[in-house]
Amino acid sequence: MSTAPEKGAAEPGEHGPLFWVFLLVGWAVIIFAIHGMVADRANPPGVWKLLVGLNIVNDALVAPVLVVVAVLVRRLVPGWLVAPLDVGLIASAVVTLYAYPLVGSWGKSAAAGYSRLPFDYAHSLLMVLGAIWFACALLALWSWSRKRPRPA
Amino acid sequence: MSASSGPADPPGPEAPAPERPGLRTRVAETAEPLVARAGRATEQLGARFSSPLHDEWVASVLGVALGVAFTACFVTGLVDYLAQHPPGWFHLPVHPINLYRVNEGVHVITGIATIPLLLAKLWTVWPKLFSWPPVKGAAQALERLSLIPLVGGSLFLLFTGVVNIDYWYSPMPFFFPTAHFWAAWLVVGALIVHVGAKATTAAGSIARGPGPTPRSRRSPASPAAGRPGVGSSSDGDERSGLSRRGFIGAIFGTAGVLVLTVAGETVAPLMRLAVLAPRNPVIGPQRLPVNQSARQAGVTASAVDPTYRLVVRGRCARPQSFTLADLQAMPQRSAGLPISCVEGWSAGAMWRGISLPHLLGVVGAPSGAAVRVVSLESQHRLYASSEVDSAHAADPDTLLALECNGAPLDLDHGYPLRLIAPDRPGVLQTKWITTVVVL
Repeated sequence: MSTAPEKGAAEPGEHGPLFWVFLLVGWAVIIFAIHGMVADRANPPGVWKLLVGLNIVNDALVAPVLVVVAVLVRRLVPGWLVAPLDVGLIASAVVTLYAYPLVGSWGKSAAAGYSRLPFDYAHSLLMVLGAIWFACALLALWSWSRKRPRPA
Repeated sequence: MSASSGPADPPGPEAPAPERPGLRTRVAETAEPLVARAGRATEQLGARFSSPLHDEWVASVLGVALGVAFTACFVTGLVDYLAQHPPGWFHLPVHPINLYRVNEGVHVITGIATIPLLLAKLWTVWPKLFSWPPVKGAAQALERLSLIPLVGGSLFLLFTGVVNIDYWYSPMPFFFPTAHFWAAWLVVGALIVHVGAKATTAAGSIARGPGPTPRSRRSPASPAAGRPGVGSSSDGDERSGLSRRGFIGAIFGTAGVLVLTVAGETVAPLMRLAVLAPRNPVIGPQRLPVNQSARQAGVTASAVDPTYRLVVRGRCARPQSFTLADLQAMPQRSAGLPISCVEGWSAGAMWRGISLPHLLGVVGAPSGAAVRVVSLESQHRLYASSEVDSAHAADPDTLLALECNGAPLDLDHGYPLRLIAPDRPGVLQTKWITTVVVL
C-alpha cells in the first residue's frame, strides 16, 4: 500500500474542486459498498480479514522478497544478463502464482467428474515456464551478442 | 539533557523546588525525537529505491492500464451479477445469443490479465510506503485511507476470482458472488477517489514520457555504453536491469502469456494453447464440460426413474403432465446454443428438444407469459429452479432439450430434460426438469 503523495501531486490545501468531487463521490460509493456487504450478509468480517490480510502479505512479505531477489540478481549476474533474467523471473513468478491453485488441484472432485480441472497442471506449468525461459534465453543471447566488442 | 556538566548547586532555602514536568509532557518530550528519527529512517529507506522502475511514468502507465481493466471487469461483472440474480427490471436480451458468453469471457480473461498489471503497480509504488510524514492533512488522510480498500480490494477481487474459477472454495468464508460483487463496488469507490487525486499527475507524466533513465548509484558504468542490452536501461548501465519501457513490456508480455494459456476455454481457436485453463470446451460427456454432475445434485436415481413425468401447471388453460415418450413424440426443434458459465468457460453444442413456446401453446398459456422451470434437485439447493422471462419463453430457440450433439442427454447434462436458452447464464440453464410453472 502506498501512503505518500506522488511527486508533482498537489500539496494539502491545494486540491482543486475535481479532487473534492471525486473524494466525496468515491467515499459515497465505498460506504454504499460496505452497507451492501452488511445488508447482503456477505460476511463482512471474513471479507475484510482477507482484504487486509492480502494487503499486509503484499507489503510485508512479497515486496521485500522481490527487493532481495532484485538486489541479488544485480550483484551476482553479469550486466548483459540482468534484463533477460528480470523478464524471465517476472513472467515465471506471475504465471506460477496464477497456476498455483491449479497445480494443487484443490478444486478437483470425484463427484464433479473429469471435465473439471482436466489437465495435469504441473506438466502444463512446466511447459509454459519452459517456453518463457526459452524466449528469455534468446533475449539473453541477443543481449550478449550486442555486448561483444565489434571487430575494428 | 543540560548543557552544563558540572555539579548543580544545592538550592537555597528560599529557592522553590523545580517543578517536575507532567506525564504528558514527559511522554511528548521522549516521543518527539523518536518520531523524528523514525521519520528520517523511513525517508532514508525510501530514498534507497533508486531503480527507475519506481517512477511516476511507470506507475502512471500501469495505473491507466489497470483503470481500463478494472472498468471492463466492473461493467461485465455487473451484467453477470444482474443476469444471475435478476431484479424485476433487468432482462438479458435474447439476441445476440453469445452476448453473455462474450461478457463472461471478457470478465474472466481481463481479470486474469490484470494480475501482472496489479502486482507490477504495487511493486512500483511500494517505496512510497516509506515517505514521511504519511499524511499532511484531513483531505490527504481520506485519500490515503481509500488506498486500503483500493489495494486490498483489488487483491481480494483477483484472488477470489482465481480461486473461484479453480473451484477452490475453502479460502473463502463467504458466498463468492455476493462478496465479489460488493468488493467490486468497494474498489470502484476507492478508484474514483484515487483518480481524483492522481489524474492530473498521471496525465502529465504520461505526456512527458519516460525520459532518460537515471544511472544507478551503486553500479559501475558498462563498457558497452551506448549499446544497451535487450530491455536494459537506455543509458547503457545494464546492471541497473530493465528499462522502464522494458519493464512495461515484460508486464504486458506476461499478461499476454496468461491470456494465451487460458483464453481457449472460451475462445475456440485458442483451445489448444489453453493448458492453464480450468476447463477445456470439448472435454466432458458428449464433448461438453459439466459444471454440476447428477451425483452432486443428488438426482442419479430420480432422473432415471421410469415413472418420470414433466408437469406443466400454473397460469394455463390445460395443465398437463407428460411422460418421456410423450415428450419424444412432440415436434422437435434443433438449435446451436452455447453453455456459458460464470467461471468464464463456454462451449457450443447442438441441442434438440421441444420448443418452449410450442409447449406453452399446447397447455394454453397466455402469450407473453414467463415461466419457472423446476429441477428434480432438492429445492433447498441454490439454482434448483430458475425463471425464464417472457422474451426468452417466447423465443422458438428456447428448448426443453432431450438431446445434445446427436445423442440423448447424458445424465450429467440433465437427462431426461433440461432447459437451454439463448444468452443465459449456465447456472440458469436448469437441468433435470420436472415441472414448468406458467407465471
